Amino acid sequence: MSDWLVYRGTGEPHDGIADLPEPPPWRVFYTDEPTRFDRDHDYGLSARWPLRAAAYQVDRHAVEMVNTALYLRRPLLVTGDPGVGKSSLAYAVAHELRLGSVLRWPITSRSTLKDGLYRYDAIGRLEEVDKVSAATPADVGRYFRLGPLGTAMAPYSLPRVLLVDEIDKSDIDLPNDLLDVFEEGLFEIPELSRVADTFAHAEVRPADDGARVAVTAGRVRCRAFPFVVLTSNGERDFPPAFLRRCVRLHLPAPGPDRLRAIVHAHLGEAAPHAETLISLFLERRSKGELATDQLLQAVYLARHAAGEAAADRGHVAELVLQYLNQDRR
Amino acid sequence: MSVEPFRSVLAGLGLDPTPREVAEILWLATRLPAAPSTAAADVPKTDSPQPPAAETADDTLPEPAEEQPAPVAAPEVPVYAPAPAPTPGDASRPAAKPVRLAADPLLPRQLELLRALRPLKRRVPSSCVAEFDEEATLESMAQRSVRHRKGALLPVLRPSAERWLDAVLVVDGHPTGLLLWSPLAREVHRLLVQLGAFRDVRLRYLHTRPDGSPGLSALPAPRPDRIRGTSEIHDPSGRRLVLVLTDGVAPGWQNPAVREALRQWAATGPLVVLQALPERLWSRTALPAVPARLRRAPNSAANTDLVYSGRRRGKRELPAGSIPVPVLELSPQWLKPWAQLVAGAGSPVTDAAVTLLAADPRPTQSVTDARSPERRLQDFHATATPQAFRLLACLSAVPLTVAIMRVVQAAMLPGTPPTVLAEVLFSGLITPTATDGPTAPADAPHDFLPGVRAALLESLRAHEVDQILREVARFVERGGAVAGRVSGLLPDPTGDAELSADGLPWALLREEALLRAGLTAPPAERAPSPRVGHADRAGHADRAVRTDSAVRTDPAARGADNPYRLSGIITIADFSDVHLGIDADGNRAVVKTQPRYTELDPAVLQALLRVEAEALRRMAGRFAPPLLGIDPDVEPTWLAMGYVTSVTGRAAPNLIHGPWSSNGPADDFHALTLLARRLAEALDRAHTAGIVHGNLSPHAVLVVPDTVVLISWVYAQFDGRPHPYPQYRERATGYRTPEGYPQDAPLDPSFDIYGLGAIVLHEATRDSILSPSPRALSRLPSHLSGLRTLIGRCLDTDPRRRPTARQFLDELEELTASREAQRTEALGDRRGAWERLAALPGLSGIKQFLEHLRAQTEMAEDLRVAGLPGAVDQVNPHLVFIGNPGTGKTTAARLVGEICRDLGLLDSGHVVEARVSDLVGQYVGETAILMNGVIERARGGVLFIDEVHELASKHRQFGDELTSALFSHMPPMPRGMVVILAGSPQKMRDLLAANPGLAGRFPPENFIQFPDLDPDTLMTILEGLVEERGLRFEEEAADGLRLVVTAMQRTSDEGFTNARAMRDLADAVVNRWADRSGGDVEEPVTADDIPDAYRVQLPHPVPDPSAVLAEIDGLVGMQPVREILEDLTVQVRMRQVLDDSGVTPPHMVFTGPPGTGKTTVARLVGRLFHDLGLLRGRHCVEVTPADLVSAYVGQTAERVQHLVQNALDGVLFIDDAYSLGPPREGAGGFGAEAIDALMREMENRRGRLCVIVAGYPQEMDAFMAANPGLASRFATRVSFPDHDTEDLVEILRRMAAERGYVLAPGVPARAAAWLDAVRRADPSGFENARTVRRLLHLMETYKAPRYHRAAPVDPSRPSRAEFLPEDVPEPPPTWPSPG
Repeated sequence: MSDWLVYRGTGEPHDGIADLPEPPPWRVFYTDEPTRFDRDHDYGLSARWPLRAAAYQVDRHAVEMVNTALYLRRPLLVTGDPGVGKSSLAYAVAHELRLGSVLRWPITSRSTLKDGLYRYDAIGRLEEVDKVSAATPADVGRYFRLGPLGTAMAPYSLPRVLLVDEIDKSDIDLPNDLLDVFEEGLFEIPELSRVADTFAHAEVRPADDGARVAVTAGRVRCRAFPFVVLTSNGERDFPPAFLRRCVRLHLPAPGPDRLRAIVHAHLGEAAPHAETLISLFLERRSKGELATDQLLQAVYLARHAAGEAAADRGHVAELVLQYLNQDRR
Repeated sequence: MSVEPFRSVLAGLGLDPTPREVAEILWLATRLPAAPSTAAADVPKTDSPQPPAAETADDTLPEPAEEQPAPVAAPEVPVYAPAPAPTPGDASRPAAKPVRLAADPLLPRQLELLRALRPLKRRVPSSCVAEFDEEATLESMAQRSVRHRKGALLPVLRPSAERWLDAVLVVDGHPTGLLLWSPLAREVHRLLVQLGAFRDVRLRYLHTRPDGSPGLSALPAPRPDRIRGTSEIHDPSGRRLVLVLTDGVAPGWQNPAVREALRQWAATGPLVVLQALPERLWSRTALPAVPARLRRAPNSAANTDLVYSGRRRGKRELPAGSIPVPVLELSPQWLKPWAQLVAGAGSPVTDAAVTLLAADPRPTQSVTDARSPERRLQDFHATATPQAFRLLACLSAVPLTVAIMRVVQAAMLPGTPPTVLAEVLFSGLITPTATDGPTAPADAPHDFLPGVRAALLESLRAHEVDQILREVARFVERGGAVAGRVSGLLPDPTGDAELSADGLPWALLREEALLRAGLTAPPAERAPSPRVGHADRAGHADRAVRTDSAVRTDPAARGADNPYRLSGIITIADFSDVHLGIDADGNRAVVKTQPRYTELDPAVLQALLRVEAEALRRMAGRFAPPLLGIDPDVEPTWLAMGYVTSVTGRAAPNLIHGPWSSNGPADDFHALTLLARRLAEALDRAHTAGIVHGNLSPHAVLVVPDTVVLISWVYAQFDGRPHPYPQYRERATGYRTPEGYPQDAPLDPSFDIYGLGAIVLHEATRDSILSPSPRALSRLPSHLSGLRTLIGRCLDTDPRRRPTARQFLDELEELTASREAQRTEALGDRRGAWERLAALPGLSGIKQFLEHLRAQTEMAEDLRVAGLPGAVDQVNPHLVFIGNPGTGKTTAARLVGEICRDLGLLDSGHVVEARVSDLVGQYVGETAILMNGVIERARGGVLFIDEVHELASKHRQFGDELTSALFSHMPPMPRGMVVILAGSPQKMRDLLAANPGLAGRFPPENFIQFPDLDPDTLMTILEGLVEERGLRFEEEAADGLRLVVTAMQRTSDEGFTNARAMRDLADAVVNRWADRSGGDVEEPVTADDIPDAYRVQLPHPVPDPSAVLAEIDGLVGMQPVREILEDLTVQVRMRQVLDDSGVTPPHMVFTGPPGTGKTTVARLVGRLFHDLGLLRGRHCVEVTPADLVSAYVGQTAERVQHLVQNALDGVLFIDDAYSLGPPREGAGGFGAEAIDALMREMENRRGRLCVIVAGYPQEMDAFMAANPGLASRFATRVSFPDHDTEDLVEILRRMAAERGYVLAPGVPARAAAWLDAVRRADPSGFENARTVRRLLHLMETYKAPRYHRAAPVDPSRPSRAEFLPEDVPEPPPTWPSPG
C-alpha cells in the first residue's frame, strides 16, 4: 500500500525518483536542453549534511506530504517549532532521492525575488570590455550567477531540491512574487534578453558551482519542477493564494520514541545516559521552548565533556538546555 | 463523469476547493494504490485550514482501527492556573503537572497594519553607499567617444537608495504596563522589522531612574545603574522615528522630565504615541488628545515642523511652545493617514488626534480612587464597551493571570483588539495578588476586588461558566499561532507542581487533544473505578441507581469520590455544589456534592440527597432529569443526574433567565398557555407518582425545546409523609403559598399549584422575579382574561379552592378552544378566513398569492389522488411584506396562517410575531439561541418578523448570524412553518440589495406590497375609532378632520404609520374633548377638539403674519429685509388661497456682514412661518458648522440628523455656513459629508423644516457656487446691508434706552464720528450692531467713575442716567488707507 511513495523516509539513497509519474497536465513544463548535474556530489556546499540527512527521522505523515508535493509539483510549506527538523527535511529528501546538493536560500526581511534568481556583475563586465578584443566572442554568461531559486528553475532533467529557509522572515511581497515564479516555472534575465540578438546563448554559473546552465534569449525555464521546501516558524500569515498553492505540513515536536531514535541515529548506541537526558529534555520542554538540537548537544557533551558521575552530566545538560524563548532578566 | 458529487462531498467536509485543487486530488488519486488507505484520505487535507494532526510517536504508530467507534463526547481534563514554585512537604495541595499551550497573536489584522504602514517604505539616496549607474555610464561613454574619439571607461556611480528612517519603539516600562504591553510591544517590534521599511528597529523600555529622571534600557527590568539617558536615541539628522507605546496611565507621565525627553525626540524627527488604550479612554490618561489638522513641512518630518491648526473655530493657534504629537490606536485606520503624513505621501494635510507637549508641563494631581468595589463595577458597567464588560464577565469564570485573560479574550471575543483587555485591567476591578514565588509576568496571579467575582458570576448563565472553559479549551486546542504562550497545570499525582487548594480551572481540555500535543492525560483520572451505569437518553433510571457502596474511597482524591470526573462548578445550590461531571465514557452528567463550606450536619445533606434521588427515580426521566447514580453513604456524598441540554446542545437554561418568553411579547397567549400546560403536565405526573415538589419557582424549571424539566427536588415529599428536615427550607418568597410551609404536616399538592400559577403570572407580567404577587393579576391584559381567571384560582389563598393539575389541564384546554372561537368571532363575525380576506379593502397582492397557493395545493392534491407525485412542496409560501406601518401587514399575516392551515400546509396556523431587536443577542451566539427559541414557538404556524430592515442598519454584525439561523430552518418547509418578513419600502429595498441571499429565498412573486391607505379609508378608521368610544362628530368637526387626514396622508413620508397614526389622532381628539366637555358623552366632538398639533393641516382662515412683520419694523435698518419677507408672505398667502395644499416653508440664504441682525431675523422667520401655518413649531435652532462636523468619519451624518431632529417643525439656522465647504483636497471632506447629510435630511423632511444658512456675502456666493445642489434648494435670498451711521446711532439710542440711559445732545454726533472712524480703520472687521454694543460698553466704562462721584451729591438729578458727550470715547486715529 505504500508503493506510491517515491520518498520513503528510510534515509537509504535509492533511485525511486525514476518512478515519479509524469506531472499532471497543468504542471507540465518545458523541454529545454537538460543541464547536467551530479546527483551524489554536493560541491562542498553541504558537506556536513549527508550524515545528518541519513539520520533524519521522519514520520509517516511527513513522508506522505513530501510525496504529495513531489507528485503535484507543488512547493511544500513546512511549519513547526524551532528545532523540529524543518530544514533537515529538505536535506533528507535530497539525500535519499539522490537529487544532488540542496540549494539553500536563507530569507531575511531584505531578500527580494531577484536575489534568489540571479546576480549580475555589471562593473566587472564594464571593466573587461577593454581587455576583450572584438575578435573573441564575448562570454556574457560569466558576469551572471544564478541564485538558489534561479538554479532550481534551470532545466535539469530531475527536480533539484530548493530550501527557502524561514520564508516568514521575508518582506511582505516576497511570497506573492515567489508564487508567480512557481506557477510559471520560468523567469527572465532582462540583461540577457536585451542582448539576445547578439548573444542568443549564454552559459551561466549556477549557485552550486555545478555545470553551467545554458540560457537562451535570457529565459531560464525548468524541465522538472524542483522540490521546494519553504520553512516557516509561523511568525506571520501568508496570503491565502499562496497557501492554496502550497502543500502544507506541520511538524510536531518529537515525542520520546522519536527522540530516542534521533539520538540513536546521530550518536549511535553509545549513549547509555541518553535516556535520562531525554526525560530531562521532555520535562523541560513542557515548560519552555527547546530544540531537538539541544538534546543532541547535551547527549554529546555529556558523553565527551563530563565524567561518569551523574551529577556532572546533569550540570552539562543544564548548560545546553537553555530555553530559546527565555526573556533576559 | 461529473465531479460535482465529489465536490459536494468535499464541501461537506468544510473544504472549498478550487477547480485546480479538485483536479489535483483526482489526479493524485489515480496514481495512488487502489486499496483504501489513510494516505488517500490525507490528500484533501492539503487544503484544510488546519495543519493535519500529526502522530506523536514514530511511523510505526498503528493506524486507528476502523471498527472502533468514535467516542460520543471526549473526556475532558481541567487545566488550572500556573502556581508559584511548590512548597516542599505541603501535602495538602494536590499535585499537578505544568503544560504550555499556545494562544493567538495579540495584534489582530497584522497584514492590514503592514499595508497601512507601507508609505513609510520610502527610500532616499544613501550618503555612503553607491551603486553602478548603467545608463549614466553609457551616456558618458557615448559623449566621450564622440568628443575624443575614444571610449574610455569611467563607470558612473550614483548613491544607492537606502531606507529612509530607522525606528525606535519605546515601551512604557512601568510594571502594570509591562505586564500588559510587553507581549504587544514584541509583536509591534516584530511587525516593524517585518515591514522592512526601516534601516534598523530597536526596542527600548522607558524606566524611571533612582534619581527620578527617565531613562532607557533594552531590557524590560534592568538593573537601575544600567539605565541609560533618554538622549541615547536622539538623532539630530532627523532620520529616526520614535514610537512610544504606552497607555499613558503610569504615574511617570506626570514627571515633567519625561515630557522633556519626548520633546527632545520630537524636535528633530517624527515622534508618535501608540496608545494601547481605545480612544474613548484617552481623555482620562496623562496624554489626552485633541482633534487637529496637521500639515507636513516639505523637508522635515519632525513634529516641531508640523503645521498645526485646531479643528474648532477660534483655536487655530498652537499654545506657545508646545509640540503636537500624533496619538494613534494600533489599528490600520489610524496608522495609515499618519504614515502618509510622515512619509509625505498622499495629502500633505491630515486630520489627526494629537497630544500637545507643553514647554512647561505642570504636574497634575493624581486622585486616589475611593469608590467601593460595587460602585466601581456599576461605573464600569455604565461606561465600558460591551465587549469589555462581556470579557470581564467571562473572566469571572476563570483564575486570573494576564496570559489566561488573553486566551479567554481570544476564545470568547475573537477578533477584538487588545485594548478591550486593557479596558478591563484598568477598570480597577482586578488587582495583582501577592505571590509566594517568582513567576513570569504574564503568569502573575491577579484577582477581582472582593465581591466582584460573585456579582459577575450572577450575570453569567449557569451553563456559561462551563461553556467558557470549553470554548477556551477548544481555542487552545486549535492552537494556530504560537506568539503568546500560556501556562497551566494539569492535575497529575506524578507531577511535581502543586495546585492551589481552591483553584478554579480555566479550560477543559479533551484528552485526545492532550495526546496530540504529546501530553498524557493524568493517570489518576483514568484509574479504573467501579462505574455507575450511564442511563441512556430514554432514562431507565431504575437500572442506573446504585444501592451498594462499592465506590472506592480515597480521601486524598480531589472532590467527591465518585465515578464522575468533576470538571467545573455549574452553580452553588443551597445544600450542595453542582458540578459538571464526566463519566469514563465521556458522557456529561450533573453531579451534586456536599458543599465545600457548610455548617450543616452531613447526615442532613445525605438525607436531602436521598429525597432528591427518590423523586428523580419516581419521575423516571419524564419532566425531570434521569437519575444516574447516588451514593449518600460515602464521605463526601454525591448524586448524579442527567445533563439537560437545550436546542443548541448547551446546558438548558432555567426560567429565571426568561428564555421562555424573552423572544416575544410577554403576554403572548400561545407561549403562556404552552408553558402553563407543560408545567401542569409535569405536576400531574409528579402528583400521580405521589410526589409533591414543594419548591416550585423559576429556578427549578429548566427550559428545553417545547417543554420543561423540573429540578431542585430536595424538598419533595412522598405519599403524604412530611419532609424529614422542613426547618432548612428557605422562608417565604413569592412562589410560596400564603398559608406557609407546614413544619410537621405533609404538603398538599395544591402547594405546587400555587407555584405553577405564580410562575405563569411572572412570565406574563415579567415582574421582579422575587416577588410575583397575586395583585399583578389585575395588570394582565384583557386578551388574557381567561388565563387570568385560571391563574387567579391557582393563587387562591384557600388551598382547597385551587384546581388540581388535572383540572388545570382540562380548563386550559377549554380555554384555548374558546379563545380560538372568540378570536374568530372578534376578527370577523365567524366568517372563514377567505371571506374575511375578500372583505379587506385593497391587498390585491396577498389575495392573488393566496389564490395561487390554493390552486397549486388543490392541484397537488388532485395529482396525489390520481396517483401522481404531488408537487405541493414546490410552492414557496414564504413572503415578504413591504409597506409602511399600519397598512394591515399583521392582519394579512394572520390570514395567511389560517388559510395555510385550512389548506393543510400548516398544522396550527398561529402567528408568532418577532422584531429584529428582540432577536439580536448581546454576544456572539446568543442570537442563534434567541432565533431558535422563536422558531421553536412558530413551528406549525407563521413566523412574522417585523421591521426586518433593521438588519441592514444597527444590527449588521448580527444580521448574518440571524439570517443564517433563519435560513437553516427555511428549506424543508412542507407543514413546517411560513416565514414572513416585513418592513417599510425604502429600507427593505436597501436590505435586499445588500443581502442577495435573502432575496434568493423569496421569489419576486412572493413580495407583497402594502400601499399606504387612502384618505377615505383612513377617515373611516378614524371615525370608527372615535365612535367606538361612544362619541359622535359634529359635521364641522368631521370636515375638519377629513382635511387633517387628507393632509397627513399627502405629506406622509417614510414611516407614516397609517392606521396607527389614526389611533394617535383619535386619542388626541378624545383627550381634548374630555378636557373641554368634562366627560359629558352627550356633548358631540366639535371642530375645537382638533388638537393644535394637527391644526396646521387645516386651512388657516387668513394667516396673520402682520405681528411678526411689525416686529421687524421695530428693528433699525431692516427695510430691505422686511420687503423681502413681506413679498414672501404675500406669495405664500396667495398660494394658500389658490390651492391650500403643498405650500412648504422655503429654505433661505441670509447674506450680510456681521452684526446686521441675521440671527434675530432668523428667529422671527420661525415665528412668521408658524403664523403662516407652514411650520408647526416656532423655534429656531442655531448652530455653527463645528456643531455639524465630527472629527471622525461617519459620525458627521449622525450629528446632522440629530440637529435636524431638534430643529424639526422649526428653523435650523446655520451661521457661517460657508466654512462647511468647498471640500478641500485631503481635508477629509467632513464638510462635504455634512452638506450631503443636510441635503438628504432637507429632502426627507420636506415641509417640516426651514433651513437658513448665513454668512458673509462673498463667501456665501462662493459656497453656493461650489455646491450647485445647494443653490437650487435655497431659493430665497435675503441680503442684510451694512447699516449706515444714522441707523447705527439709532441702534445705540435703543440699546442705551433698553438699559435705562438717554443720550444727551451732542452724543449722537460724537458717537457717529467714533463709529465712522472705526469703520474706516477696518472696514472688513466692522461688525455693525456688535460694534455699537462695544461702544455702549465703552461709554458705560467712561461714565462709571463720574457717576460714582456724582451720585452722592444729588441722587434725584435726572442726568444721572444720561450719557454726556464726554462719555463717548475719542475716535481712534484713522490711518490713511494704503494705496
